[in-house]
Amino acid sequence: MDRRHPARLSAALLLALMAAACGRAPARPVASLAAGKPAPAEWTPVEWRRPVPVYVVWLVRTADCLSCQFADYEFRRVAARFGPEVPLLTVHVGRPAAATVPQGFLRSRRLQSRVQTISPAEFARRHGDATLPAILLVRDGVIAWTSSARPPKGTPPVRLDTLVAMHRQLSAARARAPATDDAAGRT
Amino acid sequence: MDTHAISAKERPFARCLLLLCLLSACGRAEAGGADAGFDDVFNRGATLRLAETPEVINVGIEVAPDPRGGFLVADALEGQVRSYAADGALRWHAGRKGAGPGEFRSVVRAVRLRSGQVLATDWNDRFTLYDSAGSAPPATVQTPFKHVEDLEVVDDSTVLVSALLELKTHGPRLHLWNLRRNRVAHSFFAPSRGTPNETAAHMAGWVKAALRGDTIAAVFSLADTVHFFTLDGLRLGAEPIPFRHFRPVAPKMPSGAAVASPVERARWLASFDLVNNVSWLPDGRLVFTYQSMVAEQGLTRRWHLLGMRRGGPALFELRDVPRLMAVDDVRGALYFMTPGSETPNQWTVATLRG
Repeated sequence: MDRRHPARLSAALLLALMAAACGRAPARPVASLAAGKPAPAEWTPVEWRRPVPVYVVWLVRTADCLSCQFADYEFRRVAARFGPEVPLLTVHVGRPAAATVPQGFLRSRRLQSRVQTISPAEFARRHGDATLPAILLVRDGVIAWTSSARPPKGTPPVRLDTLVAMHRQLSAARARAPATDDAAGRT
Repeated sequence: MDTHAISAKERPFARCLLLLCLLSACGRAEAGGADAGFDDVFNRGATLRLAETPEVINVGIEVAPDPRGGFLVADALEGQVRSYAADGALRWHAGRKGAGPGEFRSVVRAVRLRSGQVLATDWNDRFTLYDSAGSAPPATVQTPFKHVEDLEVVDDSTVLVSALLELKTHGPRLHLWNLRRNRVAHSFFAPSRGTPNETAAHMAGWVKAALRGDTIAAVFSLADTVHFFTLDGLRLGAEPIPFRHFRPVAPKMPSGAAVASPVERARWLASFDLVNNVSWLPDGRLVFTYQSMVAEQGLTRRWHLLGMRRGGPALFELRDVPRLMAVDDVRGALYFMTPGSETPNQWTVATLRG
């Protein structure tokens, strides 16, 4: 029995794997979606021609649009109060073919939102085991608040539009502050 | 003990499902292999737009014609009750989401009482009473009802309530409620007893009723039968609804996995039709709305209509019509969502031909 052939095959396989590994882009580090972390760059849609100081992100799976969840009420309150000044971005974690589900959900709930679809595998690769579904507030490019973080015990519930108003004020104050504030690392 | 008491897992979804049924959906009158087109059956009249403001947006609405003119709107997804004039002008609105006074978890329906007050019901327990102009602080009444699905005013003191008592799915669904004494005078109509598919009865079983003169017409969402009762709740009889295109639920229960998984559940729910409502026309004809779900579009609804006379054949059956929002049983006007509109506040008024 010629044993050289399997050995050659193993070597070729190893070489092929090494070549594939070399050719692939280096693995992206897991980007946490915790408060205080930068918002992923892909969350800034190209049609937002100017920087949007505060926006809302809804991380949602296909199944979440088919069950009883009522985040839409909060989103409509934000839309009624701030209009297009505070856009809603829906990040749909699911198959591209299932993007019609969140689109149909948003339409029926009378919500304007751009929908970005990302596969569950890719989402896990990028963001680890981030909680889904979740609502996040992004202020000046940084995740400023997330629904997946438990509020301190005894904290009264706060409406989403109230939170948005607070973060808009913080963003405006930051914009008015001298540049040295940024240098000091304040957010 | 009722062995069919509703499981904690299933019943919240039943409300969710009924609520989803209120959501807007586009219809295409020309699609779906119906016997006739929309314009063969209806004369289209004026269009109407329910006014909206930053505080008022129509999302998950259930509409009742107001005997004083105009419409009363209960919006379950906005937790709001609204009074509209006949031309769509907003007269007043009240309520928001919540559990406090004047707030709703899921407001189901608002009707005008003979006293002029407006009665609005939450999904569970609590009824709210507004004065005729919606201006005074509302009064709330704790009732014995769970999972309220419909309200019809019978007389000065009696309201017909479609709901469960003690969460018994197979118990009576219609109740004559004395609103002055907050007492159930009589309960009747238990359509889900003996239903071939228990899971469907738990998850998608609701009862709607309509009054005309001394007769109540009632439908159960899973059955192609209309039942008739006197105003005292005495049974007058039942007739098959002569559907040709209604897809009944299969007797085979879905698997536990199918019930637990929202995606699988949506596929199963999309596999059969549900009778959504029944309305009387002034001449005694009956109009039934029934619905199919489109799981691939976030459980969007497709709406279908059937008209009949008591004891007669179908006068028409239309698939994929715009959603029927309200029927004025005095003037015979039918208010449809305007074809092509994506928002439920754009209506087209129609009348039945012939």
